[in-house]
Amino acid sequence: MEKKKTNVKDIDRRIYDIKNELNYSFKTDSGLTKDIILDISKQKNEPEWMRDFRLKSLEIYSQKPFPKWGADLSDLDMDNIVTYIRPNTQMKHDWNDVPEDIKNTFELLGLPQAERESLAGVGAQYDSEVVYHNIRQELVDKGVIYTDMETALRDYEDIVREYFMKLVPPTDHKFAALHGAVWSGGSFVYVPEGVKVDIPLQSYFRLNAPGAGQFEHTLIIVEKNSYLHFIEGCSAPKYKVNNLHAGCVELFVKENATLRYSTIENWSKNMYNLNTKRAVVDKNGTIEWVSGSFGSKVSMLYPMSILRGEGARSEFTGVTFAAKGQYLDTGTKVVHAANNTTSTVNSKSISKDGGHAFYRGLLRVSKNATGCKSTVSCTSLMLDNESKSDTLPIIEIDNDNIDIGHEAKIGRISDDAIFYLMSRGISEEEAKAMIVRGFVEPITKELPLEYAVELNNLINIELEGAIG
Amino acid sequence: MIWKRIGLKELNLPEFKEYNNEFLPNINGMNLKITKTINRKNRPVLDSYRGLGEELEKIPQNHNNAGIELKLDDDVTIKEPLLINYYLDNNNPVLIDHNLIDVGKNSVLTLIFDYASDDTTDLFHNGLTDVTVNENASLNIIKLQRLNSSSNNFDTNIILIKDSGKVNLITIELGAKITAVNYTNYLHGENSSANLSSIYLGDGNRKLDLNYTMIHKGRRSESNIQSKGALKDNSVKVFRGNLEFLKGAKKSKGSESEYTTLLSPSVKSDSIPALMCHEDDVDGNHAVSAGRIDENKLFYLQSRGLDEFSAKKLIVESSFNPILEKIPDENLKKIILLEIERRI
Repeated sequence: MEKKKTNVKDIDRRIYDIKNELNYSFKTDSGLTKDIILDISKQKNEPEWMRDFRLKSLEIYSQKPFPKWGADLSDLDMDNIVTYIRPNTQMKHDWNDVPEDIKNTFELLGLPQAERESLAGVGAQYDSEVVYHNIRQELVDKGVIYTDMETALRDYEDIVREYFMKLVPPTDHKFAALHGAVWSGGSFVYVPEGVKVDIPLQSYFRLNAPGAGQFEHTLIIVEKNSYLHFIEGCSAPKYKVNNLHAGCVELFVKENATLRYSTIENWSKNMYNLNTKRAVVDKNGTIEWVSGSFGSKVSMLYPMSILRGEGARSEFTGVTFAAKGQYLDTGTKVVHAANNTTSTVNSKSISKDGGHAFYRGLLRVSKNATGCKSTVSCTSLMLDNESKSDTLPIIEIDNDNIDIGHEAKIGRISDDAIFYLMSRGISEEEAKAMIVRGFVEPITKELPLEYAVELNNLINIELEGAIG
Repeated sequence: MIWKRIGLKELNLPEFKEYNNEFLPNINGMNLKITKTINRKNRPVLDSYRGLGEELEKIPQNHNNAGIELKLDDDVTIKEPLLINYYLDNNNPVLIDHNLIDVGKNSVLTLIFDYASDDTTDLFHNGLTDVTVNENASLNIIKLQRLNSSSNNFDTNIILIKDSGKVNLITIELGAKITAVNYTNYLHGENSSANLSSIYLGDGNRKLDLNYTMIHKGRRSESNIQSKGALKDNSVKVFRGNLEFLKGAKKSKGSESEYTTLLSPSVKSDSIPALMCHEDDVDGNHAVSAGRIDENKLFYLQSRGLDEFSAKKLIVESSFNPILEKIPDENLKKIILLEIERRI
């Protein structure tokens, strides 16, 4: 009897692939020169220090080599990436004022509805500038600031200046330098001491223009004893030319505070997603990363947690789905730099149709950080043998008073598991569906309900016969 | 790149010298051919190889001063292990051995390599062992390295395993100032299997870079890497275990596990267990753990009257035991146990 194959469908991209006509008020030339940087800075009416910061970053950018490991970036032609596109609108605080075509895009992505139902604040970035930003009044009254980076730079200059690219300096790597030179848009969140923001804030980044780059900067400061859940969503329609996303996320979690940072990234498959995310956590603070990587042609993304305060904690839950033509090099970095810090990493990856999923992680315990505990677990599911799945966790330990465990597994759906479920009266199809859903369950349960439902819809499984 | 982690920036290669100590094993009455290796340059070039770097590997291929060339015919079983003693001393401070081993179909062989030395400073060893295990053959190799603490040790092992061939490797790293070893196993045959067990002991300022690779190409091939070690003082260790499944290696299984016991606050322990997979119908997993000695075990032993130091020693030694048990030479086992006992 011929074995029938189970088909796990690609992510349904219809709503993401809607393109709008290009309509902008200002656009830089493609490529990267000092004049372009000065142009961006002038357009944004920035203080002098920021202009100088951009120029310095550009200098670093031109000196830094491309990374020699990971993805092949030779197709990424920096001279053809447009670094700054201002959509033809000013920032609005009411969806009705946002231009029709832009509003429709976000409407289709479900953003305004989500805001009405379950979010405390929403930011929406379209190409290089934020077009919409709103936050519930009661949070404003408590002193929570949630605004776009440009406004923050104008209204809270001293805070921005204190924190901006201090955690991810432009010298970090080539794309951090690029970000420092051409950054535009993004969100700024400040949660004052003792404030618990109990419904999530969300920023959505949408890149519409072909051959462009998006370089949003997200800066979040959560003061002592505070709580925040921040959600980031990204998408773009597919064009023939390559687009670039080199954003930067800097998170400061103060004493006893908790920040949960969720990302559902679904860039189109012509996108190079070279994003840098980093959090620094003070005494007894907690950072929780929930990260779903589904889109892009190439991703190199390793959210990093620096546990610098005693008893700080980090938790990383990630799912990567690499389908045809995708190379997703993802993972996380954890640095235990203080005593009694703990970390948990749980990563899942699925590869199919020639997709290549690569887990790359770093776990470092510094010399004077004793009593640290860490568990890292990576699981990969391969749905056919056209695909590739690699795991490369690096563990560096610099003292003897620690407890570290790492494990990784790779394979396909086991016949035993299916047999077991079938022996309990479940049909073969349902058994397989259960196993695949169960595989991604650790991340779905971490997401807000509407996102979990969306994730389950994204991975549409058509079951017929065996996987493999 | 391999040198970044143990902080070796440059390496001064010593001048070429003759090596005159006897090393050929006694093969009285055995049905095999063994000679000293004369310069041999040919070596199978195999895919996805990551070793110690071209510079070091070229040396034994081009200018060896020792080494055995061993050919075992088909259908021969040699019960007694063959012992190859390499001993470095003041008159023979440089050893560059190129060992070529070919085990015929259905044959069985056990080899023990013992790398030892006297107290002469700046000894240098750079070796290459090139092995072919033919259909249904079985080969055990035990390598013990106990050079003195001022010597440099580099060793490359490339092992090709054909259909139903079996390889068991035991590598014991006790000595040298800097030691970098590479074992690359090519499981090319169907049903081929490779087992690698490793013990290491880092103390003083010792630096170890251990590189173990299993490349699965044949269907239903199986591999296992098991590494146990203890680190104390200022020692530095890098463990690199690579499990690679090439396309077509269906129904293959691979596993690796590493456990390091850390005995001093100033040790440095890096682990890079890689799992690379280009075939879905396989079963691969790795586990790495590191930490102090289990407090409960320690408490139990102390409650039975052992002092803390002896208890620790016992725990480390017992973790090595399952691997030591596999060594088929009582004398050698004793040497290893004494050495471990002396140093922990």
